[in-house]
Amino acid sequence: MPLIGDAKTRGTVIVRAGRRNFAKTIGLVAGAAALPSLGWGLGTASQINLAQIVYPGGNWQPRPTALRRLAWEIHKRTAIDTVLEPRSIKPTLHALSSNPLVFLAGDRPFPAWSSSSTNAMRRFLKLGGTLIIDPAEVSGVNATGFEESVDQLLEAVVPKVRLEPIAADHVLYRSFYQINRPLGRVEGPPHLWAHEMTGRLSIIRTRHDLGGAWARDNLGSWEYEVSPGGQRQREYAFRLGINLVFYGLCQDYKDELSHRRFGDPMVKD
Amino acid sequence: MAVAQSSSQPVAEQWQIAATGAQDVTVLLVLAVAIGVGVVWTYRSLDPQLRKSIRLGITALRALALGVCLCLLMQPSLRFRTILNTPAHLAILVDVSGSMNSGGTESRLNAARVLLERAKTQLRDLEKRFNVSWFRFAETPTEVRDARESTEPPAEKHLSSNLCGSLEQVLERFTDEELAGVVLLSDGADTERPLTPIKAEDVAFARAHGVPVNTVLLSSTEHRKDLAIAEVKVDPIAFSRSEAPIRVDVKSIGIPDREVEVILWQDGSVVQRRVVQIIGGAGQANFAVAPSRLGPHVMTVTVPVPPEDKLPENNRAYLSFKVVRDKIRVLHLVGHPSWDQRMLRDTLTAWPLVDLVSFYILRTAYQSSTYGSSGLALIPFPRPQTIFEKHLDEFDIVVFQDFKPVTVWHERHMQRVVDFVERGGAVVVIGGTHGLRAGGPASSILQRILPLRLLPRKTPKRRQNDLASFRLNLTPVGFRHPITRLKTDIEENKRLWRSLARLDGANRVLGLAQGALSLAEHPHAQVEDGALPIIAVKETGKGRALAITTDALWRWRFSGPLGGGPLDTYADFWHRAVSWLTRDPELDTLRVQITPSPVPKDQPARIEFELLNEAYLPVPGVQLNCTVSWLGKDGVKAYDNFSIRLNDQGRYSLKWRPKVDGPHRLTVTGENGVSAATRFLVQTKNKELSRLDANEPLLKAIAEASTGHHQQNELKLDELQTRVTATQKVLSRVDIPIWDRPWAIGVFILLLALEWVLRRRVGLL
Repeated sequence: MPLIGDAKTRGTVIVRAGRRNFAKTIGLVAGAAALPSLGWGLGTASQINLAQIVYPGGNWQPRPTALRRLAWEIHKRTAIDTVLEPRSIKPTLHALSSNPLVFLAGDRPFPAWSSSSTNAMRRFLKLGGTLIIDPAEVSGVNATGFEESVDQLLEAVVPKVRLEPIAADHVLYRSFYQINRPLGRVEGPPHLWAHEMTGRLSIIRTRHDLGGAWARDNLGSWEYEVSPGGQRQREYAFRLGINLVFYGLCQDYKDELSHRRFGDPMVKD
Repeated sequence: MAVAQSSSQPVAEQWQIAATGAQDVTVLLVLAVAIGVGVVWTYRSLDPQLRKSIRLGITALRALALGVCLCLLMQPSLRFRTILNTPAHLAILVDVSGSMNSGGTESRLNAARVLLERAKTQLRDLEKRFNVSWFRFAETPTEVRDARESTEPPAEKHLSSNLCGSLEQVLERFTDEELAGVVLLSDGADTERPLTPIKAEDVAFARAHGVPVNTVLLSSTEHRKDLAIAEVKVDPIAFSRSEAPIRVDVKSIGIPDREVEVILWQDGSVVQRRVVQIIGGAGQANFAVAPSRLGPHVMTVTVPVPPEDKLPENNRAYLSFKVVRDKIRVLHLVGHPSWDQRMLRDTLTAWPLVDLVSFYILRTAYQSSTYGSSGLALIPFPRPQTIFEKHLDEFDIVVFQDFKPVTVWHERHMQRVVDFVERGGAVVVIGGTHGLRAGGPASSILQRILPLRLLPRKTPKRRQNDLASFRLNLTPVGFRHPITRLKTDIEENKRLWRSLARLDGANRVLGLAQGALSLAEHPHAQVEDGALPIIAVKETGKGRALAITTDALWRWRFSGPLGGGPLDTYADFWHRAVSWLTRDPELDTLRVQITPSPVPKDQPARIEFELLNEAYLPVPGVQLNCTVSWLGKDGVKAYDNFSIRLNDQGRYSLKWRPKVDGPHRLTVTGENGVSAATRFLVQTKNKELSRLDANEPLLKAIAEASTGHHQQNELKLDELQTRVTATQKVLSRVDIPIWDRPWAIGVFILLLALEWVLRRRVGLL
């Protein structure tokens, strides 16, 4: 474990934890880890809400428990202070402005959005918002119809723009976890798609049913089987979800070359 | 429409037949075509059994009648005119600039005088053919009476040469008159254009006027022995900590090629030296300086004065440039990823002026120890010693964003941050879940430099934050402070701030630290000494600190209307904050501005003073003591002292006349302890002294472009190229109508009658 003087700790930099102070240190770090949940924040603006978009028609929430579970995993594994009960928002100017990272899910076609909603989404993306589109793969339901509706929606929001595959070396795949290929409830294609706006990915589209892999009921059971990789694949789906949120927050932080000049690393983060 | 014209004399009477009626070409063409059609129709309508001569006769009579009719419509008149034949202008320009004027009796100007004297007879002939106008020029052309006056040496010996500009002015003066040609006597030196090869566009003006410019090169150099700094090139703006190249061109005339030491001086000290080999009369020295001080810099370049040098004045030159910040290096330490961090990162990375180095805490220690590092994409996180002991001074600003340093790093590292700020660095502390809450920096030595007094560690959690959403209020200081004065107009600024999005909560604090200023405050929440500060600043030692007690400013990023309005208010706020934190000279509280730059010697400069306090409010009535020093190579010499007292607006303006040329420094100290120093350059227009050699290519190019003739050190007036010799001026005109005479009508009727008779005789009527 890397050491730094006799500093107390809560953060990436780790405490000098000699044997004698082991118990004390464990107590400290355990307490520190619990800090975000003690309500010391400045209200919801300090927390990250994984908002899901509510839209008329179709099925806007095919995996109702998915984002809650992802929020919990982020809270558990990272320093991000998440809202554990993610909110659902309508695509209005006001609601989008409060939630710079939004998820759009569905498993069937939906009607075209109103012009005020598409305008709000366009402005949201232009000012720095990120939209993640995650279709649910449900047998017996017209999932292709959802994809077509999404295409029509994107044409209205960002006309004549075509989503391109995200290159395997993109920082999105390294924003927290190292990810070799995207995996969700289904194996899906080997890449994600995105639209880049002023150097950042503003729209990210999956075809892996990430929500299906994340969904877990109140009794603690996974709601959907993950295939073909089983629980290991489910873990990778969570890792991708965490990376998506980290990318929305940290952007190209992991690409900063200037870190190298500091050399002599103590820990990695 | 002239149809005939007599020959002309110098002053002559002329006559011509002119049309005074219908002159519209289209109308006349239509009528002519109609007549033609009528004539053809007439011929074809006649009985083909008739003899051809009869048919042709009738047709001819009809054609003549219609022709006469057309003539009557044109209303022909007999026009008598009295014409004055005026000779065209010929402009003769003589260059009297410094390069022509130096050398006494052997000067090029004297050579011009001799050439004109020799050509006296030819000039007299020329004056018979042309209206000769004489000009002398240096910076601008002046019309003079004759050749003698044109070659008189000017009172000021070193006038600069504006050859192309003066020639263009003369050509434009004759725009409304006939200019047959120009004769230009010069050495070709033009100090207004750079020392670069001549391109076609440089002489395009000569081609555009279409007037032949005959050039006469005067290039005698026998009398000259001179080593000179011909040109000093430096960009007017240099970047701090980056190398600014300075190029010095050295020229010699009449002095054998040799090695020359070129020295660059600043404030009386040698900055750099270069040894230059003069080859073929020219050499070049290249310097590179990396200034660290922001603001104006003035320097001196010298070359030695050889014993045979006739013009030691041009062995010294001055240069001035302004140093601005190249990059503002920001160290961004983030307690945990958040929207506030994301939007600040976006703003700083999008600003080319900022070089951002970020370190984010992505996992807590507990998470690190519990989940390990398997599968994580990690980047090196440096040791605290590396950041705070090795690299801290590389940064201009350290931002602690929702960061609780006391629990992460040892006090000695925080002491480094305090020292860094007191030495002139800047720190920003942004609140949030951890950043400014009790037990955070309050327990750290960092508290010493913050603008806020933070709550003690044991403050109950419910009292640490105010969770109500609010729209912050600017304080009276905030309305004027550069960080929060987002609009120049105070009322407009108020409106803008009122339009910004509400914020979601704030960290409570005890109050402002001593000497700190609150720029924006909470509308309801109170602290010991007033409203809860939301944005506060403080000057600490030589550095500055900014504290923000909320992590919700990011909401301003989304608060503007699409595509306009306060869309960039968030970015603007941070740009201003960074400028203030890094002491952008534009935001100094004691401002001294000297115009023009450089200050011409023997002309008064305007010096303006403005004094503001830390709250950027005017400070009236303060006495400022000013000292002007000359920064020559012999050291710094104070040579002028004066005092002023600021007016009610904290301002003062005066005119100041320099006494010597070269680099100067103005030091200002106020009775209230404020001080400022600025440097400026006083310069004599001595470019001329550095361009003494002739520039034949320029004269040749002008002659070629304008189809003129070029001569070297001789004036053969019979070889001059001109385009016209004279113009005609109508003194009087009389028109005598000839169409309204009875005989004209008679001819028309007669022709119709003859046709009638002929038709009757052949039985057509």
